[in-house]
Amino acid sequence: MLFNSYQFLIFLPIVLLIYYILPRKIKYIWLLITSYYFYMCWNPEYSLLLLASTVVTYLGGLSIEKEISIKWKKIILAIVLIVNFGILFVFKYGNFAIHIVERLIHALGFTIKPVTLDILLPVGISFYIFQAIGYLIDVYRGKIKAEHNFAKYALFVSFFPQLVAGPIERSGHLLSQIEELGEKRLWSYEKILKGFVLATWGFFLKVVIADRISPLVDAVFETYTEHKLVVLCIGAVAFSIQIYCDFFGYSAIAIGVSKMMGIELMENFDTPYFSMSIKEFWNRWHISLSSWFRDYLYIPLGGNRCSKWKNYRNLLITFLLSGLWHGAAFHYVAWGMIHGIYLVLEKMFAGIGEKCVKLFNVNTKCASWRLFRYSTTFGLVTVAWIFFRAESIHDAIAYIWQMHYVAGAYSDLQSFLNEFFVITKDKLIIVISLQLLFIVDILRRTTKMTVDEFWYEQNYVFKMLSLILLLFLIILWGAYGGGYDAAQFIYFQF
Amino acid sequence: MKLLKYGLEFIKIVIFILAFCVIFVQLTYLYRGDIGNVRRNMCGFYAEEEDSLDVVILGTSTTFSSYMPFEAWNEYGYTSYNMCTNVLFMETMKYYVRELQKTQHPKVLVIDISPFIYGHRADMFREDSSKLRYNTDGMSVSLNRFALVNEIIPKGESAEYYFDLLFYHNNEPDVSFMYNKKFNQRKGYANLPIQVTFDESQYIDSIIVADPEECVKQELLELLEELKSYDGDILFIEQPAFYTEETRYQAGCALYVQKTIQSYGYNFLNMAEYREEMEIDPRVDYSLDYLHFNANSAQKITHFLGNYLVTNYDIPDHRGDLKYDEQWTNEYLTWTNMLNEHIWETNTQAEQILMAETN
Repeated sequence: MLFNSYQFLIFLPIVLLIYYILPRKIKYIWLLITSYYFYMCWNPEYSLLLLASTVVTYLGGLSIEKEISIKWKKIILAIVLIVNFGILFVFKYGNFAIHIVERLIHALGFTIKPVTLDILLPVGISFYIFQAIGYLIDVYRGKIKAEHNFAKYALFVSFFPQLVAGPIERSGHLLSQIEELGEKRLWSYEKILKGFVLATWGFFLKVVIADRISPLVDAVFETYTEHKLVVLCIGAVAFSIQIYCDFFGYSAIAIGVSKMMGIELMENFDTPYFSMSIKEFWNRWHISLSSWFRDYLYIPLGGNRCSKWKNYRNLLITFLLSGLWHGAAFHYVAWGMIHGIYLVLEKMFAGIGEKCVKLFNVNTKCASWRLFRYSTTFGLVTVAWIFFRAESIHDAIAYIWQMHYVAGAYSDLQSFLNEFFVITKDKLIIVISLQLLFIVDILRRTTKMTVDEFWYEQNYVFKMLSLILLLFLIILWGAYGGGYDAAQFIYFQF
Repeated sequence: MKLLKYGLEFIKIVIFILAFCVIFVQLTYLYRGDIGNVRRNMCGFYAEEEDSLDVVILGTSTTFSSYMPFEAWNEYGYTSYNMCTNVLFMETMKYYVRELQKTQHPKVLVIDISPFIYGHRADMFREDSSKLRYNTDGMSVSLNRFALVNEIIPKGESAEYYFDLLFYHNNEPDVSFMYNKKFNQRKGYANLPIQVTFDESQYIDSIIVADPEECVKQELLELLEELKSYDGDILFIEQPAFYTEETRYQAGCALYVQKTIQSYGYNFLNMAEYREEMEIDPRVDYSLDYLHFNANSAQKITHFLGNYLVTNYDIPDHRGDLKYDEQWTNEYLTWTNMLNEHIWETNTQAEQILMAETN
């Protein structure tokens, strides 16, 4: 079930209404049932995978807690990790691995019959497996106690707002709230309102901006060999915006819906394109995943409390795996590696940069310096996104190479825009929506408040008018209905 | 104090929801398309002043192509309107009857039985949403419309019919459809060109009652049951159809419908029996098929039906009444210009047909 479907618009009010009415003690059972229903709407059979991962990590957690011997704790942890990563490997990376082996064999001069596993990538598999693994490691480290109530644990893994595309929750944060469901009323009028506003903002980002920009991005990336510098830059920047609005939109809907039930999910995006460095970008982009990799991979590898070169190695390994997490293809790995290299270079040249700033007496407090830093970070991130969006590394390199064609770039731009924006309204919608996004992100940055918190602080008339306006912008400007497919959220595929 | 706070919050939410609904409905009217130019018929009906119509003709394209309300005004002085849409389904008719009673209480409600002759129903047009939209989209947002959508649209597809702004949101808004009302200068009439010609010898004489499909019988009974609660005179009509061997079954169905209606005690005017009296020429007076008409025949049918109505019902003559000046007396001049154009076009076309026949 997609968030941007009529089905969900019927499903959610029913879930919420019954959730509010039910006695506290059984609320979590209702949420568990609805979460599995939500997942099974996509493919009922694959809910067994979700169940399998849940059962294995649940039993693993209990066993680790009971076991006194460190050695056995490690063995249990290793077994559960192998099972979970095994599921992930088979269903997500199986064909990719076979493809690599085939290429190797072919390179050695042998020929074999191509093999393909006839399996569908289960929606959200990377998200729920990482969440379950995070729980298990936390139990192993003694950070939390193992959950003894299976239904509560199953809800933690399958909680429908964040099941298929995150945020990847921490056991200490979400499980404790599930625990509290039976003890006190978590939801309130304020939370419902805030949650509703946040979810509405998420719908706006997804349906109006991401889905309206999507055809433009597709058009540029599919015909990049026919275009020149300006159009290619527009295509790349448009994808940066699309993926931000798509994924942030999903997260906002997930956090908002969850908030309406009184359950707070962790923030996943914090104006990432207003970052002065790649390091800062990763503290603001997909926070739940980057902090997962930091806590469960980067730090165990040694983090930055080791030699300089080991630290660089750790960064590269972390980002290589982060790239692989996003998809079973080399261009995702390349995207991860590029970010790893960015970070390594940033660390390597940090001292030189500071010296230059001092030497040339650069004012780093002024807006123009910040703007310069934001722009360079955004530019670097956008270049990396080309690898993410392209069909292959070869395509990504060819796309970037194509950018050196400058002559005739203006006429190329004119003809592209004339061809693409046959209806002037579409162009207007994108321009106005982006301005709105920009204003909201600036407010977020300056007030340090999330959209819903900022909105809630305002007067009733402003609140009412702004919410009505936002709802009608979604209804009137949204890319849905006749002529559109309910576009999936980009991050569903991970 | 706590109660007051909750009360205030509740009022705020109610105001918000009401404001949202009002804007949603108004935007729906502005963004709805006018597929096949038929929405303007219904919007024109809504634009008519409350209780200002003496006669309302309920029907389909056969009706709006055969009756000219302004001609009836000029000849007999009563006010009338074609409450019609293209491909009116049998199921839709009862909802239109309910809808018209909200604003009009005509002296006579005239119901054209053509939808029963064609047997038009929603499930015949599952793949052609425009036909479904003809039936639903003229209606204002109301419980009647919701009930109609509920009856004719399959559950999984109904969201965009209940809330059709979701379907039409990519349209350009048209402010002239504000409140779903737009004055119709033709009072629901639409001109159709000649597209078929018949030879008098093709007409079939002896028509025997046919056994229509079960759904036709069922829908007819539902309409007749619905009309039991209608307070006012009702006249059922059958258009002066030109039945041939090809349409013998339809003729038999029409007869079945006529008999059933009469068994309920309603008046029935079978204009097919008066085709010759009306001087309808089968060579040049029909349009799309045996049941659609052009401007020439529409004039003849209007005069015949108008005369029948004023003779058999107590319908007042408003000519000279200042109250009707703005919408009828003055607008008639605009109408005559349009009519003359239609007649000229039809006559030119007819002359060509007759000339070709002579040659």
